[in-house]
Amino acid sequence: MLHGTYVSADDIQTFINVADFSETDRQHLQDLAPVAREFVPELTNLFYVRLLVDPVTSVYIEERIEELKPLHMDWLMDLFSGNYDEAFVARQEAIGRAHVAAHIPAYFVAASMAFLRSMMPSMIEEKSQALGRANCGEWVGSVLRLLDFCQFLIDRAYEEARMDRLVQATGMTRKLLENLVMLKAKEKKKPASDAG
Amino acid sequence: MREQMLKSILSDLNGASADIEASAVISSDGLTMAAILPQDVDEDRVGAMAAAMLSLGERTARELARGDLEQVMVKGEYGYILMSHAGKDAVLTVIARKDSKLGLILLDAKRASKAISEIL
Repeated sequence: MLHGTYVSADDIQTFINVADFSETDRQHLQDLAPVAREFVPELTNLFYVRLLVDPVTSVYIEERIEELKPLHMDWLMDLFSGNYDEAFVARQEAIGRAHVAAHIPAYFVAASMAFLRSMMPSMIEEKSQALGRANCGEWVGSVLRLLDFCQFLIDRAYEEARMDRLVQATGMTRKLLENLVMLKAKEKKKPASDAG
Repeated sequence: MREQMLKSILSDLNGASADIEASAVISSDGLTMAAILPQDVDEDRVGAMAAAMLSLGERTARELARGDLEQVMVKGEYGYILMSHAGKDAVLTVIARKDSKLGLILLDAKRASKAISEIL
């Protein structure tokens, strides 16, 4: 994985290190593509049913469901491409920007991801067995790692949008805002003996 | 070289009045370009705070139809902080004692700002 527009290569590498996302995970995800093709349409339908049930989320999608479903299926299938390069990172960030532009609250993304994380393991298990594939428990971990990575990238778009609004509201440059934030961070890092 | 020239202007400014405790030239991003500050004052803190105040002052002046910002003054229990533009991308910050003669300080600060803007 390489860097996109918002996240530094170092941050991405740290994420990969801590999440333990390896070449094996990449291979697992690619191998799961035929299984994914089996459950992605059903998962997408369930996902939109879920969003329609809630009175808050339904407002954002009720007149666009047929337009949104193929996009969601494409995004899900992209998770199983086995190619998580700069273009992949940029695609996740673009999704984040689209969500921000549509004024979709950040917690919708977290809730949606939680739904996907809860549904995918059993679907992978079921469809794998149906296709005569076994031992998918380990592979589920690869999917969950990648979903978390996508959420991290999508969430960054919200952070960036917030910073942009702060820049506009205060007239401060981004660099100055970051310096101010870092002052507070420096203060917190001070050893107890330096305090007061 | 440029830092030395800026420091020289700050030194003259600080020497012009016993009421001035410290002064600094700061970029609009809040980074200190030159400063004459007491040892216990954190340069980064002065830089970020002064640049932030000036940005907000500019924004406030504009929003409330007061025209281009000339200066920002903060009065606290123990004295004053004065901030003014020194050219397009720098801020002159002056920290002065309580009961300072502000008229003189403002005049000296204005002269210093002009000299700084000529260097930058």
